[in-house]
Amino acid sequence: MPKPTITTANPLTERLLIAAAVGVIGLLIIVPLASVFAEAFAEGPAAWWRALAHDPDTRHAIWLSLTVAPLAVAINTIFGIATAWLVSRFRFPGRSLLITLCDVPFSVSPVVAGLALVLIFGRQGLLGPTLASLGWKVIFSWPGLVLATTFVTLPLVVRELIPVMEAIGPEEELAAVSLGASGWQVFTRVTLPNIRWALLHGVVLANARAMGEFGAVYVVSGHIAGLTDTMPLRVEKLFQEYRTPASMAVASVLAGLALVTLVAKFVIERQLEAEARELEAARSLPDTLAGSGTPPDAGPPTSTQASIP
Amino acid sequence: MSIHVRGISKAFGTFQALDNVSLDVPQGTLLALLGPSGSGKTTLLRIIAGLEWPDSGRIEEDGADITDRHARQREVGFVFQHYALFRHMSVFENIAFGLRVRKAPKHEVDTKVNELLHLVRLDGLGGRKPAQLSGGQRQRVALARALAIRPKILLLDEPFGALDAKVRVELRQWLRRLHDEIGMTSVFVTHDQEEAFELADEVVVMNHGKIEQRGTPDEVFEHPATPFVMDFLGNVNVFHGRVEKGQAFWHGIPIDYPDYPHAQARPARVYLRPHELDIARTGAHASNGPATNDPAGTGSLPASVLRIARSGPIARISCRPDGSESELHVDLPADTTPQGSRVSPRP
Repeated sequence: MPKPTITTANPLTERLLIAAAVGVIGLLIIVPLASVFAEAFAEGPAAWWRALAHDPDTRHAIWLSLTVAPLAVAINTIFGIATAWLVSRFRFPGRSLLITLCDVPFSVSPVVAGLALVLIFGRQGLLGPTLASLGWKVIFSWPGLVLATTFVTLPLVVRELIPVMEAIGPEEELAAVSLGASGWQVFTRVTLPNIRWALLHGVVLANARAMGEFGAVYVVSGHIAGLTDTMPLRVEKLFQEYRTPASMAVASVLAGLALVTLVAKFVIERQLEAEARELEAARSLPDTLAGSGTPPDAGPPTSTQASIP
Repeated sequence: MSIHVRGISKAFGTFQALDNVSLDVPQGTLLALLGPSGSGKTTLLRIIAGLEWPDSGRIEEDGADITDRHARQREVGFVFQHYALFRHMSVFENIAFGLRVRKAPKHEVDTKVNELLHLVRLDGLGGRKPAQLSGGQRQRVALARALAIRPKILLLDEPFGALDAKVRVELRQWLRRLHDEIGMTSVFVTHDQEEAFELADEVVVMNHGKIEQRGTPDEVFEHPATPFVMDFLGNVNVFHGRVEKGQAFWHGIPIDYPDYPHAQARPARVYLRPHELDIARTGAHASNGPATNDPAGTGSLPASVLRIARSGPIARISCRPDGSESELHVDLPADTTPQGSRVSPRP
């Protein structure tokens, strides 16, 4: 099918706009990203590998990031599904406020979020004495990192799910209930398969954001090398210590992750579009289907040999 | 299984969807809930299914109170307006769903689903996805899925609403036969009086969350109990006639009816909407000839005017065709309203 084109724009304008877009993207995204990789591999892959694997603090930072991010994503997945379910299936006072509150982490600076967590969970914080008496350490420890990361990635899963669940509607779930399914069966057999791509999309975005989180984590981690440094913090610390090649090596891992996320996002978005089309098709009811060897509706039988089913 | 609805009320915010509604549905009845949108008919159906909770009142099945029973345990087959088929499952899995969640053994599921596929004439289509089916086929999958759990009651929400006219008429007749053979207590919701009268044993007319009238189609049609029912049903003319070779005959006047192409004549109820009728301009009928013979060959019928009601640009002429007992309503633009006491309505 030919793509529609705007014929009123003159060719010069079009070329200028393309040049501007390519220029900005090139200057701000492609060149910096490429230079990170160039810098990281400047002394060859062996040096790159040494910088990552032979420094115990860097190793620990990678391991910590690989632990904290999935935990935060898991919490957000559970929270996201529960909240999206609540918001899309029930009407209650304060519903719109709840949706708005889910977006707060998008508008609050991560540093502020980190500070808020210190105010609550820190030694002089609201819950500090209680936590201290229990022997739990949140701030300057990994639970604080998980909390901070969860906070900043909070909207990503729930924001993906709400519109999809609204669009699908409750009918299939009600049908499953009337057929005798339990709540868990409805969720695993009907809801989850219907939202799986939207959920995966949210998870991939949340994971990318969680891995890269710097501000909130910076405040709550205390920046203890080999203990509470995540990958982004490690990149910054190595850079401050004038160990640029090592810093770039870690940065290249984060950048590589971004590229993987990009590909995953592309694939998932295509699936989401396909699902949306399918939903559209399921809503419209063709009386005869064109093509694909489908016979036209033969109509109902003229007599029924019904046994009581 | 008989259903007894006792004093059910339900409000959504300030909107009173149902206002102290009581209704008995005897075992084996096919009952239609008929009314305009917002009359509470779908809400009542959902409350019977347990998909909605009443604010007050009780629901009983064979005398047992099931008001507090969860939809899951009610053993009610529910066919949703847009079918609500599980999009990601095949037709087979859709029908099997109710059996699978009950952990029925595999061979039993297979047998049962194939039996139902045959019953709804979808043999061989078990592997399709719902999106690959036509509207009429989806409707039958939804029905088979509801029947798979051996429900005691079958509830259908606007079962034919989303189908085109031809498929609708065929499915309607098929569903009626299916009901007669299975004999399950069934309730369906519709806003289409034609559908209600053709299909149901009993019709319940609802408006503003209340039942206006309940009775057999003939009772309701011939003796509307309230002005609302009269007005709601007054929109259609009904006659006993016959269909044959793609034509319906109304007092001997042929009207195109392509849905019945068969040569064999069959008695039929003929519905004619007032705006589908016109008044012949000739006015030159041979005086008082037998009405059914269309003596002038104009395709019109001599009749006496009973009254003319004008509302805005439309005038409704009520007249009685010669030799007939029933009234006939014709809607015409007000400025073409005929004068005099004799008219010749035609399709």
